[in-house]
Amino acid sequence: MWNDGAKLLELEATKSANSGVLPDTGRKKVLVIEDHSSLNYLLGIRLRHEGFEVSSAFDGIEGLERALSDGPDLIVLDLGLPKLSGADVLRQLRSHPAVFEVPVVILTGRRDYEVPGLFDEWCSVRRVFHKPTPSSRIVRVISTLLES
Amino acid sequence: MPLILVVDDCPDDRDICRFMLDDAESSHRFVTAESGEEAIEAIARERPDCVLLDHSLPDMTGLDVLKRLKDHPHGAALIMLTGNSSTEVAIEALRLGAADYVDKARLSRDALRRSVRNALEKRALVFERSKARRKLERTVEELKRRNQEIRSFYHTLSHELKTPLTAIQEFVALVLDGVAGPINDEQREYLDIARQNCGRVALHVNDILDITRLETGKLSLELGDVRVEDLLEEAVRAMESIAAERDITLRSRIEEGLPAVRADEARVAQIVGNLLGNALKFTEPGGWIELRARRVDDAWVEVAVRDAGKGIAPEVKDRVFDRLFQVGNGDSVLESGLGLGLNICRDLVELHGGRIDVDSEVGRGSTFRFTLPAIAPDPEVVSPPT
Repeated sequence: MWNDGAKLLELEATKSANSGVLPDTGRKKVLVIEDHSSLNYLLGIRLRHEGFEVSSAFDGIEGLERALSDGPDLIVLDLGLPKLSGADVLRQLRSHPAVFEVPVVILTGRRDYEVPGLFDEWCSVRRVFHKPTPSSRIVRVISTLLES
Repeated sequence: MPLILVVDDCPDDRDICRFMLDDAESSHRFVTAESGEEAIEAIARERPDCVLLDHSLPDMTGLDVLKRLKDHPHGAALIMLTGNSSTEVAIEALRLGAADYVDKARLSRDALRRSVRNALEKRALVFERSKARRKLERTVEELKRRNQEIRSFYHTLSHELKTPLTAIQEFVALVLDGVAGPINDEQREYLDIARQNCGRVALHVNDILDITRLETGKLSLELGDVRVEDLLEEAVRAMESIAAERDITLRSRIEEGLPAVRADEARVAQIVGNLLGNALKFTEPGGWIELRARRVDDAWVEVAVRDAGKGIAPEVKDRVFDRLFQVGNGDSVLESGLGLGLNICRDLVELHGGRIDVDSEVGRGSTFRFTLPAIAPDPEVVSPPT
């Protein structure tokens, strides 16, 4: 549903994505792995507004790297990612004790999202959102998950 | 000049045929064959327009030749020459595809000429017909291809529109939610108008996407147990502010103890939303709209949307569920739409196995009702063992 829209948005999104390893500010950290830059950007804005630290990745490889380096408290993961699919990112994360238990919120453009065994094998998946779900609702759920 | 193949083992008989057919007025080209095998070869090689086929040949009968030719399109008009006034042979020859037969015992110049002329005319007509049919088939194929192209164009178009539209909706919502800082009442009002209009475009875009999915069988239902009362309550809530703005009362009458239905919740909400939206369109300020739900029998639950609007004329009542049908008389803004909504409703209801129909009377309003499959109640819950 989402597309790489205005160049400006892409630039803004890249800027926030390149902010590097998050400093430890005591705030909860959310990693958004989503290749559609305007959705990534939008989630970032809303999550920061809610008081979270946000880092962004735009493909599966980058997402995996950031998951391991940034120490997020929650990961928002799109299933349809370039370079490494969301399902593969999940499988890779599973083998890392440091991130094994980090809760994950899945985004998917497909209604038939079920990758056999995917969610059984990784119990940290807390919610699956079908696009286009309003970002406000996604962020509300993330807030609830991180508060509890 | 038509090419005639004369098949006869007797040279005199062959000459007689040629002699009878040829004169100054009408001339033909001739080839000859003396046996069945020769005839079959000559037909394949020479492609004659007409074949005069004697029944008694040295290697096989004329009927055998016809049988052999039956499954191989050759385009020649076949005339069987029968001896001994054999009616059986004549009938069998016609059955096997001969255009005519001539009794050799009564052979005359006129009879043979008439037969050949008729056979050639008939053949020309058959040619014309099959040419026209081929042309028609090509046109149908071309139209199917174009239709497919248009369909996939609309599908792509809707996807392409939906992406930026969703972004617009989201960023407008972002500002409305105060994420970008406080906004004043005037700004809120303007952004609300933008949001509402985005919503209308989104409905149209989704309708086009649904139509293409329904046409290609790619729309699948996500079935679950759905409580109709919750769903209707939500539908009323969603429409309340629009109804209030137009001074229309929304009320619902839901039967007690209604069983749940086996349905795709989002799709049923879409159907109800569509019917309510239509009812709102056609109801005057000060009017009312009623949502009802009742159990039809153990197998079905019926949902109805009743309005006291202007109603549907009897002559168009049967067409309201047709694709692209529009009630196009008058208020262009209120009645605008793509004419897809009710068509989608019908397809969605039918995908659930249900039925949709409408009762209407001009000036008194309309009632749209549809059925959904009820879930058999758990006997232990409904009637505990005594």
